[in-house]
Amino acid sequence: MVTAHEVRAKYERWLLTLGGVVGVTSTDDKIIVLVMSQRDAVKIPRELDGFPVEVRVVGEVRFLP
Amino acid sequence: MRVELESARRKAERELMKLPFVHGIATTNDREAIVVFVESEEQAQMIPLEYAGFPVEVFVTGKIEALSLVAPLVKRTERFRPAPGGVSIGHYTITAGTLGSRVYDSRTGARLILSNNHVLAATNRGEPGDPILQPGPYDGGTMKDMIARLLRFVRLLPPPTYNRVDCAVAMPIMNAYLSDEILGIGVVNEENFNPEVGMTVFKSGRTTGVTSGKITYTNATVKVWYGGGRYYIFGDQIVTTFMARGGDSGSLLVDEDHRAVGLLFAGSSRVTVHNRIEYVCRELGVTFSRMKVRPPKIKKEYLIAAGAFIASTALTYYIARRWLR
Repeated sequence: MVTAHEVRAKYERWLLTLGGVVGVTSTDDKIIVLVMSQRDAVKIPRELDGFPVEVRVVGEVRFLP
Repeated sequence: MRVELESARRKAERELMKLPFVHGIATTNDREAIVVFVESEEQAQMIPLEYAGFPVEVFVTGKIEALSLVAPLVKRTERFRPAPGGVSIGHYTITAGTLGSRVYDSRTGARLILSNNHVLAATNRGEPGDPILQPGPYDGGTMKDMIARLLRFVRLLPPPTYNRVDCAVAMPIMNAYLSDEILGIGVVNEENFNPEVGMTVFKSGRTTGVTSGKITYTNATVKVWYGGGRYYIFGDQIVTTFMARGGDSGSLLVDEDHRAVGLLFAGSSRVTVHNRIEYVCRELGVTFSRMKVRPPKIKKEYLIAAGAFIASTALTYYIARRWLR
């Protein structure tokens, strides 16, 4: 049985190459993609290998010196 | 007359302040009287009406307590000695970040300053021994404000490598320059290696002071931009609700029991990102509890080798003596 964490690991590198993607994480039942703006959300697939993908707009992450 | 009142006040300070319910002594400018501060009306009646020839006025103040350091009166961008966690600090070439906390070197037990690589080591550009200023240069810190020297840091690696930590430690130039406390949080002597989604967390930072937030993810991979379209990738990070702005980098993330959970280092206008404290402790070789500090262990193999060497030398000597007799 494949878990959401495994599916996330499989697609993580690819997701990070998409413009506007800030981060990737997962819970037991879903994959979460963090993006810069609402505009970037449309490029993200709704589902990966049967697991739902949730998109969260977080903005650009920077160091905070 | 004024001189006499002054000496009477000093006498009163010496004698009346011994009484547990007397909280303070003063003099009035106009009425030539000694003023005694007490907590309650009942206690007021136990104060003499006259003292050393001067009338005594009683002032009921209630209990006077030290103003908490959390009060916004404290400017975290100023110079502090000893310096607590939560105040401005930085490598001499950067702007300013936050002094995270006092930690202990796991090997030597030395007290060290914990913050980010990009705060104490100028994002890989620093070298061990570089001056660390408190406050940081942006807040007016100069070489006169050197508090420590950079000791070691975990190098940040460019993509496609995943980084786990953005951390560094500095050695105070005088042990007494570093406080054990974190401003508004207190002393942190323990780690919590198990951050959980939903957990309430706090930090004390240079720019936004003490703020609280909730953990939203504990295992996030995050791209962190640092100008010119360049970024680093960080894996297995803690993401919380928004709780920091520029200058808060290096703040220690703690749980409700004041245990270290993470090291704040990045954020956006909506979220804040932290390294897991487990990786920080492991990769830097530091700990929050003094008890865990142990002297370096001597390996068993070395002991056996040394024993064998001594035994064989003794045997050779013994045999040689018998044969040469």
